[in-house]
Amino acid sequence: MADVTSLRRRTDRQEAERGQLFLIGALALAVLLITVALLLNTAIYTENLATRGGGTDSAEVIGFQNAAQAQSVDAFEHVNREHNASYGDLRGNYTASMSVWEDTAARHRAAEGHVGEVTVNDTTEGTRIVQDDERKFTDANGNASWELVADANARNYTITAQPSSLVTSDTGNLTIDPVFRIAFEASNGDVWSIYIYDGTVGDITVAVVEPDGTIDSRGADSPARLDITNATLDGDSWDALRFFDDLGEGYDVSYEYGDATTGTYSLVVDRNVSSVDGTQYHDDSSGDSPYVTRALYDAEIDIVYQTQTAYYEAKYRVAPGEDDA
Amino acid sequence: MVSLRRGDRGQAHTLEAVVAGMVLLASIVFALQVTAVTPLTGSTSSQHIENQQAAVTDGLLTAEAENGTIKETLLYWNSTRTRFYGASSLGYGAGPPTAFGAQLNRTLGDRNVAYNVNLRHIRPGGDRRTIRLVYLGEPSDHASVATQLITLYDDDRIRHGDGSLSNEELSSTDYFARNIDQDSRVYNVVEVEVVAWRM
Repeated sequence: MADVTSLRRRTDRQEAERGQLFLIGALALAVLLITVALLLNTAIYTENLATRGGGTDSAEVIGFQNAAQAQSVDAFEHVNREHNASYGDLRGNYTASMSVWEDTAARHRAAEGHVGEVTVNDTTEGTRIVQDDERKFTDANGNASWELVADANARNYTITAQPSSLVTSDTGNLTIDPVFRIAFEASNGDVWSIYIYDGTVGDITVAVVEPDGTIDSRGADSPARLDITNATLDGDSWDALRFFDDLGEGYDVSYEYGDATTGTYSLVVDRNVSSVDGTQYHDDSSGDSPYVTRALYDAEIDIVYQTQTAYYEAKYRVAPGEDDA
Repeated sequence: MVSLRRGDRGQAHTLEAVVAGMVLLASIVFALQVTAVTPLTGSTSSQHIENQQAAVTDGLLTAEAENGTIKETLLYWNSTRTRFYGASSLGYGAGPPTAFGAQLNRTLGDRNVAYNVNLRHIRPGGDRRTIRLVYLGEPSDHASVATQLITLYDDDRIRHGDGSLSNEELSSTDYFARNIDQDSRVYNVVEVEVVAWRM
């Protein structure tokens, strides 16, 4: 009887325990489901954080810098064309132009809470040497072989050559025949030469001779458009013209047999107009070629842009047409 | 005595089972409600789409500014009627009939992205005014904005209705922007703002 009673009691207790296990099981499942939901939320939020932007207003900074650079080059070229009565005029007009632009552009950007500044730091006085009448490449006195400028750097050097009086030659005889030649002499004595003549290739042949004697020649249409500092011939890129790196700082530019070709040319050098030999050139006002005018060789501008999250400062050198280093 | 205890236990078991079921149900409902629907969830107003729209509009503006077509469009001005050629006083109803307008239509309009183009300029007194170039309606809450600065010079010439250059310079034209400085060559700086949103 005692066994029967205890058996029943044990069964009751087991059933009682099983009931509580049921509740514990349900609680455990509930906690599991909520944990899974929590994990899912964590993953979503992490993805959200990861795809947020860099946090800086880099697009506005770059936009302002691009606009400032474009304006600085535009204003520079305009000032060199229109306001070259004196160096003071050139500098003053350029600075004023940049200042007006800065005021207006900064006002636009201020509406977003950004501050933009553009200041002209420094300008280099230079000279523009131009022959814009179609004539032989002789100087004002008619000399065929003459030096354009000594110990200078040039930018925007373009030549258009007509074939009317070109000398017939070939790559072997360039130094012997009276072929028109542009010579760039570096400070260490190395000379790079560009010859323009009537050769076997094309209407006009242009040859580049390096100091060690290597010759690279190419045919061109007539008239030949040679952009030396930009390294293009008739608009096509030509690697042989990329020798300004090797030429270094400060070189002499001279013509030889300038009477062997006709055409026009222009270049800007970084020498003050008074230090360029005046006897070889006509006066700007006379209307004859070749002549020299005042120009700015380069300018250095400071661009500063400030937002709530970024401070950006950059220096930019304006020298349109300079060889790409 | 035994049957009485079993009756007690039965109701207690039922109670526990019901409570367990309710706890489980409540947790499922809670877990489903708590799952986050974030701005990144796929929909027509997702943050990804907004970012991409902003990037596309920015790229379009930069490219067209490089090509010079935005300035060309700004100078497509009818000075006798003091509005853009072919536009109402509210602006164009689609892309303007210039290369920039064709590019806007191709990049944004063809992809079911509506856009407004606003031109902001500075008056000599110093305040900033807005004029509409293209107006397609009120932007939605998820619109993106891109801007570009364009410089106008005194000697820029406005264009005829057929797109060719005329001889009239900005300094002597009745233009929507005023000459900000008579002494310098800069006429004004216009900020072109493109607001784009998914239709």
